[in-house]
Amino acid sequence: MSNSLDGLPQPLLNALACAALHPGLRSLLFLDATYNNLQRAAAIFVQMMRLATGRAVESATISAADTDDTLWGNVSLRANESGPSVAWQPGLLAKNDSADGAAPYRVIVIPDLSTLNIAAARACTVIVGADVAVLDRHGRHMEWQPNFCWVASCPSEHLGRVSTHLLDRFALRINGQSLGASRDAAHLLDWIAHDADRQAAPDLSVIARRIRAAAALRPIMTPEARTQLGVYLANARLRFTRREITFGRLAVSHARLDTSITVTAEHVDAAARMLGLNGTIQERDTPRVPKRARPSSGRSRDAASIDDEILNAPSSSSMDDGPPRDELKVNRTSDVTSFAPTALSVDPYPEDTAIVERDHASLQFPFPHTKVTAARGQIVGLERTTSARDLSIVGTILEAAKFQSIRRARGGNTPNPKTGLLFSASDLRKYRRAMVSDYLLVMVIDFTSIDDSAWDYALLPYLRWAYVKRAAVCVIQVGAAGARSELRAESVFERRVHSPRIERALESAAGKSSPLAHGLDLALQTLRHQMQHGDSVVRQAMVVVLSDGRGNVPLSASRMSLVIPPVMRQGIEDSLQVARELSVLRNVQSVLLNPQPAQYPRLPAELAHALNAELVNIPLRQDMPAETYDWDERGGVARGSA
Amino acid sequence: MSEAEPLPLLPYSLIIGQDQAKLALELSYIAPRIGGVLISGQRGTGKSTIVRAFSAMLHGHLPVTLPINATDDRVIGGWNVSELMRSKPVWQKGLLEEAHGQMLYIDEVNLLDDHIVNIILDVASTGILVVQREGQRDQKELSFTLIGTMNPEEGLLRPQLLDRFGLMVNVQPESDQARRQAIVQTVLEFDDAKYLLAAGQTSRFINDALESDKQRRAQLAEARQRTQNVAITAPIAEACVALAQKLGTEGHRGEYVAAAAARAHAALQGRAAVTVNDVKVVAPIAMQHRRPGGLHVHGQILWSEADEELMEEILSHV
Repeated sequence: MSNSLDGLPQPLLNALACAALHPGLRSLLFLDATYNNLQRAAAIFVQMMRLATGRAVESATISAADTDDTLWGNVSLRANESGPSVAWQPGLLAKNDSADGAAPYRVIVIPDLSTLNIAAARACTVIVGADVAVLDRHGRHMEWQPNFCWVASCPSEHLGRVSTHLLDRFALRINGQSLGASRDAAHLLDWIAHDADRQAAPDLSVIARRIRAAAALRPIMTPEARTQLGVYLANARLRFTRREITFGRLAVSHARLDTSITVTAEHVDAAARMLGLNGTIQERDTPRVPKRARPSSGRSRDAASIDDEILNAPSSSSMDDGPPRDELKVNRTSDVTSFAPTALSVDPYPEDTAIVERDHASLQFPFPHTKVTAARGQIVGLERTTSARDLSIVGTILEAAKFQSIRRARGGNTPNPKTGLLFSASDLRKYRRAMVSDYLLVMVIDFTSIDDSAWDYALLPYLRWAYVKRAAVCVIQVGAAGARSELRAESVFERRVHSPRIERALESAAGKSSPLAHGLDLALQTLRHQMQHGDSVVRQAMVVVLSDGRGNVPLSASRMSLVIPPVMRQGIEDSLQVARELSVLRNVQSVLLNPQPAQYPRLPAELAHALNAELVNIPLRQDMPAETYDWDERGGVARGSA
Repeated sequence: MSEAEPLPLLPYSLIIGQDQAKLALELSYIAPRIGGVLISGQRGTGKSTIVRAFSAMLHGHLPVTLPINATDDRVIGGWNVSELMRSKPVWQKGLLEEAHGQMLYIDEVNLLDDHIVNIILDVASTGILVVQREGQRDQKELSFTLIGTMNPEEGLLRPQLLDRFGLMVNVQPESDQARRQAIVQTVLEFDDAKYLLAAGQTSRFINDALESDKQRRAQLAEARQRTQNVAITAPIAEACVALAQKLGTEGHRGEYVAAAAARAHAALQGRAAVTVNDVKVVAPIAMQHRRPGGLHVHGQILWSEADEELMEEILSHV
């Protein structure tokens, strides 16, 4: 058997086959897969599902615009010979009424789990891997056993943004970079010869035979296999019940794919290798939420080395890959899970160690704290209303359409009873929207200038303002340790001040250079976008710049990632220039927090003048009275004076 | 549902562990006055499985379930759309009415829309469903046993809704190695059994489990009959009140539920009177969620060692 199929490594194909063979394993999470590669994996999985189940299989994609109505179902208008009528329109996740007993399986593709809107995230949480699904909407009640399969992708660096409640529903995590097509001339020529996005249907004939043979098998677990299962269950990474059950099911699927009538200890070992389990590791209780920011380390291995290891893995016609059983020691003293060549990903459960970046209660619909004066924010559904504000015309019409026959039969009061809809106040429907902020706090923090100043205390009044106003928050890190480039600032944007990402962004250490001009430029771009573009515009913003004014990276150097000497005072001049552009923005209040540097003490005032900002001196930490600092007291106020 | 018909869920008697959750559900059935159960726990701890299996064991079918995708008309009631299109006004009962006299199950209860929560609170506290929508005006007396499951990592419940649950159980992942392995083995055997049933064959594994379920159902029904005759002494009642006061539980429901649950527990054990031990078993799940700002760890309301010592001290005087 070849090492790969259509560029896909054998272990990955085996994993897809194992998943196709068991209903409990049909939820796959690919890490760092591009959309095209995800589609490729989904197409292969669809074919394998057909082979394994002997039934029709279709695929569908959840989009960023999906709402409860599109996901679960809604009443909609249909054109009949006798005229328009209203009928139930099942959503993507509803039971397909037209099928009876032989309903096609549906492979649901989620391009990016970390950007699912709240309606889709909630829906997926209740239905992925569920034995029973319930739907009660618009007069419709359904209770059924879902026949969905799930193929999702998520950037590994964004795992912390996804609810663990949702992630736990996915049985297998697979390195999405192993989905990439081979980088060789043959593939390039094939791409040139055909449409850019067309991909030839992969030839599964070799593995198809095994899948078909496996579909009818129900192997029995041997006592040795049970014992071996127990050994692996001691692994702390399997501490959640769903993971343990997945592991057991994977061992059974391995045995079936191996066309074995028994599940042996070797099959259990193969399942363990596939998950990347290799002995007991140090237990971690909860995902880390560090007090101090850690330097961004990215992935522990680059994509090329991972690909090489997977592609060079030994393969055979059976599932007895890897070392003989007596050589496979369960290392109870090791505190690191080593990456086995046939593992699906570097880390079997990367969400355990992902930095938490999601909001608390991320699956709850946000409670509207502010009085909305205009309709803004992404539409996530409909709800009843008693006013005409933010009216959903179509939703209202559909509601009214349900009652037309009976209203006319009862004698409606309309100028022309044969045409026109009869409305009642109870028909009114408005849009339910995701929360947007009327206010924005932008903080440009120059980490190279904070030194011994009580800068964190100086920020508190503004953070409190953001909390009270339910403002969106943008932290622009200038000269932070661990930045991807020393020549560039970085920004972090969140809809609320109470966000783990904001907390991390404020806890950076100082780096080596100070791209202040670029930081101010990012602030300018952010403000222009948030205050001038689209429907969800911010009405009022506050800009807080914490800097000594000594930007030492010219703006051009930041943009080109290249320093062309001599630099001299260019960084400072560029900072002042961008500050002047910021100063002309309307509805923006600016503050410059002055760390009172010993060198060039007039620069902060010069910057404040360019910004047309209020100048606030930050006291030194040693001068602050312990525990008695009054947040409203500031050490001297001067408005933009040099 | 006959025993030969395949169920999509694991039979109740095959559920390993989660003894406190099972006890809470059984007590709420034996004494409906307890007022329902909230099962809170991390992902993958079998919360939904236990509730559905319990309902299947007791009633032979899944519980009336209020999903988070429910619209108002399905909760309160609404016109049947298909019939409306034929000019026939046929009113369709909502889920609250369907659950009258039974269990109403809300999975992921902490994700429910606020306005649906308000509707449920109104009905649960007044016992009356008022329907004033779409031209329909009606009022019905309703009572149901509210069962909820939730993952506290996704947010807590409003205190008003939390109080409507008589008992609250925190489920933890199983820590005992042997039990964990038994859970995996049981699920794998059930997977095979489902396949046999789907192929039209019988499964001894399932049949034995359903027989055990039947026996448990009979025991619970017997206990339910007995509970009204179980005596609760004044010292026991005073201890319940004292414990609730010392713990600072809000309102009177803490001691009422503890007493009702202790009685149900005694009935389940086949005793004619409530003992101190019955109170010890039920007091934590009756009271832990009624304290203002309880003890929250990672979003879980917990019964602490100090609470346990306090309870021991109070009950030692009975």
